[in-house]
Amino acid sequence: MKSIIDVKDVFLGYTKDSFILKNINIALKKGQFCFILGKNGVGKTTLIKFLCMKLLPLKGEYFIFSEKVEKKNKMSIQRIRKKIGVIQQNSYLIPYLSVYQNVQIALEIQNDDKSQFFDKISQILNWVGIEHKMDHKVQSLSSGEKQKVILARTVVSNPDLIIADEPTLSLDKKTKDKFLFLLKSLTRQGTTVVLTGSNISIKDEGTIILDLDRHSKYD
Amino acid sequence: MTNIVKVFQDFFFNQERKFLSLFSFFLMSLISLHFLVFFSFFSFSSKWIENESRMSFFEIKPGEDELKIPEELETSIIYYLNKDINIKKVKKIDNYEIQEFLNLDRINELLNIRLPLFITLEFKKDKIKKVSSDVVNLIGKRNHELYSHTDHLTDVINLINKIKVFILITGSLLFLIFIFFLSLIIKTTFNNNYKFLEIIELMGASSKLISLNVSIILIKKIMPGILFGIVSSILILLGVLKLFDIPFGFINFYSLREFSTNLIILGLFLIVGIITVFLCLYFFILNFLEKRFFVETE
Repeated sequence: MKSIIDVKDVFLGYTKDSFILKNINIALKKGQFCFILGKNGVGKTTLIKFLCMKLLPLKGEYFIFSEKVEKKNKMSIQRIRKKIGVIQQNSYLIPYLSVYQNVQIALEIQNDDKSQFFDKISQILNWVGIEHKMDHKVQSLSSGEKQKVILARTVVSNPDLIIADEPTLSLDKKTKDKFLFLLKSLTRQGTTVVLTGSNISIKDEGTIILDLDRHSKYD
Repeated sequence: MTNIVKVFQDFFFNQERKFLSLFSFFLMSLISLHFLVFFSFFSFSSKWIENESRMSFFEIKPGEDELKIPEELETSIIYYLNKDINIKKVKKIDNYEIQEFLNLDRINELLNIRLPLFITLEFKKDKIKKVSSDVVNLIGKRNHELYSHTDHLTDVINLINKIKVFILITGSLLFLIFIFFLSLIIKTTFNNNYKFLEIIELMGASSKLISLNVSIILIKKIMPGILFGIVSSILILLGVLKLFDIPFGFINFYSLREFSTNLIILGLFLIVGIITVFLCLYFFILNFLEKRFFVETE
């Protein structure tokens, strides 16, 4: 089976003479769940930025969906990004738009068939458990509900890969468990999930754990 | 309308609404006023130069034994000049005009001077400036000379061209200031709302489409200001021209042909101006997004 993500001997950083992460190697196949562990400031967000193709490697190679990520391949990066769902730390939602409209943005970018918008969005909001607040403005939601909307927006376009940077940071234990359960359930449908966190316990078998404390500049 | 366009509209329409409208109105009024003055001056000076270029001064000196050109001959010369198909207007400079020009007290003082016959000729075309052979034959052996006004116009034409270039440069500078301020507004608005831009870029939104949408939104936003600006500058110009009786006839209601030609020029100026603003905005936004496509590393 071909790798979804193939990171080979990558060094990351913001200046050429100082690496934040060294010698990273990741190979993820379809349906795998990868958990990136590490203390605060170790470079988890930097690695997520790199995996989202926002940050280019200082050394090494990065292949995603078998395509090499390079500065000159902006067009293909734009195309590949449509196959990825990204949840950033403090991911942004438009506060004055409704839950439905916020999720719809993801489908608009995909240029999906407009007639199917309602079915897809209702289904996804039902799955995350927030269908009853479909018409509510985002600004009236709790932080847990907002996180569910972000997950719905990420998942609605049916991405092959989900990259999430500490998505459960501000959530209570119950919502955090539900959120992780939802992400985990996606892997059973063939979606590859990459997740970072500093205070999450993953007990399931088959989870790939990457401990960044071993790769950081503090080695 | 998509939600993305709605969000962009909110950035520019609601947050910068009054400022954008007033800003585009004032600057566009100034710019169009400049270009209107330019066109008016262009049209006025072109006409003036064209008219002057057709003018010539015809001098016929009396014969050796004459004090002045005989009256019969004078009448015949003027008659043949008037018959010439290349000549539009013939005007003899009379003794009073010469007296005034020479600053003489009494007309009698001219009686003892060997006075040439001076005639101003207005030709139909400035390229054909020649008197007919009939007139030359009539003049006979008397010395004659045709002085064209074109030779004396060089300095004036140079000055007129300098004024035109000056108006054009200041107008273009104002236009550049307009584009510069627009780009500053876009930059500030984008920086304030960068989270949204970043998230839609990570979702795979095309920078080109974002630039296109935002440029269209901005053009729609500044359009009323531009139109009001142009209309008010036309009114101001008309008022000023009327008040000071300046013969700049850019908007001439008495000649339908000229009026419609000038309206077409104004329309073209508007279209070219808007297309230029649109292209500047598009490439500025595209450059802004492309620069931030990757996190910059040193």
